[in-house]
Amino acid sequence: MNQKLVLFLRGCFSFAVLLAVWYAASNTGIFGRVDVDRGKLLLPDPGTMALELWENIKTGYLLYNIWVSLLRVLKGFCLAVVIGMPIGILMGMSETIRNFLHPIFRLFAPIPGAAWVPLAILWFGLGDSAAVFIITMGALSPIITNTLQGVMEVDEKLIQVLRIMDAGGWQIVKYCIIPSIIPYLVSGFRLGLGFAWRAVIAAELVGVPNGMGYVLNVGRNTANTAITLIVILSLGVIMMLMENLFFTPLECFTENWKSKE
Amino acid sequence: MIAIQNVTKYFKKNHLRKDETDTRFQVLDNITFTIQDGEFVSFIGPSGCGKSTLLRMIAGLLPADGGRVLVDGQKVKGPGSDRMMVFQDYVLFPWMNVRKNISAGLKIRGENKESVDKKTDWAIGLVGLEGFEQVYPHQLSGGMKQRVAIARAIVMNPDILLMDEPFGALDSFTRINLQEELIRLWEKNHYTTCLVTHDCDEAVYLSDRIVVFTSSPARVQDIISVDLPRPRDRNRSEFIDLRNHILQLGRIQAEQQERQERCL
Repeated sequence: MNQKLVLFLRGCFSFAVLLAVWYAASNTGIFGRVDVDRGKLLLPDPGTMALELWENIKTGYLLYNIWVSLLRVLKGFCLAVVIGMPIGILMGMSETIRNFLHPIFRLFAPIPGAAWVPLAILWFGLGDSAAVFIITMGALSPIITNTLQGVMEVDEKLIQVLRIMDAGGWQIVKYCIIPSIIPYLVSGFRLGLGFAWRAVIAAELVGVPNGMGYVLNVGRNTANTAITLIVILSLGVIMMLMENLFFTPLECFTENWKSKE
Repeated sequence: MIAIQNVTKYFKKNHLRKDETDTRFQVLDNITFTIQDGEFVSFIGPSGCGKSTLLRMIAGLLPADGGRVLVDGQKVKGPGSDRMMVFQDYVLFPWMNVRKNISAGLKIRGENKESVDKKTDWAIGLVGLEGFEQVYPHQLSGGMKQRVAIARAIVMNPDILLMDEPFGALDSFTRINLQEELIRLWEKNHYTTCLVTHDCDEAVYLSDRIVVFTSSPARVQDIISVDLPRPRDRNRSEFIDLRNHILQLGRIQAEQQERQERCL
């Protein structure tokens, strides 16, 4: 049997076991710990969930809110990349800039994205801009850190070779710095995107009136456990898809030349 | 012509002893000699003596602290593609295949695609890398990597070729092969060539003249002309005598150095 099929079947088995345990827990009142009715309310069984999921897909409610959050994350994340990557590269290439920015960076980097939520709401009101701001602040520091580390570890001799070839600053960035730091960027982006999702959920839980975090909150307020679970699982699915569609190909690209010694 | 005039160079000390007040040590002491156009000159001396430093100064990667380095009467102010360099550890771009490694310099220079392709093909042919164009450096042996590095240098059609122990990391068969190919290339194109080596055999086989350095700080101990006809026969008695003579100079040096280190 080929490798992929084995992996697929193994995955199916894992989920089958999970669903079975879930179903049992739901229909036995969490294994007899609570009443059966209450158990169904706390943990709806997979069938109920599937119906709820279908209802929400049909009305477009779920997909709309996923789309809203996704768009926010992408906006905030792209903004963080556009701001963070050049800062990281400049900090890596120039000692003066590094010395100047490092103390400021050290102060701001450890602040969790969610801590910016109240300030963002004060500044931008309850809406898209606030969410994007929070996401950007959350994703910025891992992107800067990893870009900087990548640039600091660029092979000095490759830059010498380029200087001998009369390469200018931009050509050194294009021919050497960017390709060298791709592996670092992948881990920076991965961390940054994780932070971005955390930030967006926090922002939407607290007040931004749509998106996945908002649906989670509505689910809690209306005692609709099914929809909160669906949103939580959707988050997992989205992260998995992003990993497979975005990061794995980027990593494969570097596999081409990364020395296997 | 390369003119090295009273060149002096200091490096910063990494570890200072308590009683030391001088924070720098001298690498090169008042070096003066000239290299003619088209000449093949080797720098030989104990490892760490500063011969590579001098090569880097000709390349324009390091400034002189005293004296000056002139190329065709102009003071060297920085690196330039008229002086291409080949390193011992190849320094290829790992994310570019062989062809892209070789053509990178031409693209940086802004040549059009047709000219880039033509010159790259020429260089690939010259070093015998046909069929390896799409291969990445990590898939190549040391000798092949150094061929790529040499092609990357000559494709720019430099006046001067600077080589920093280019064959130092290769096995002796590959080394002899590449030495012969280098001489063939040099005879065809007559680059002014400076080669740093600590292999006496290599120096005598390749060079018109050999500059022998003393160590710490490096001074010119002797400049030896090699007046043997090419292609040179490594078994001729003149070849062997010359090689032994240089070895002898080196051994005296090494002994002195050891004695100095023991005194410290």
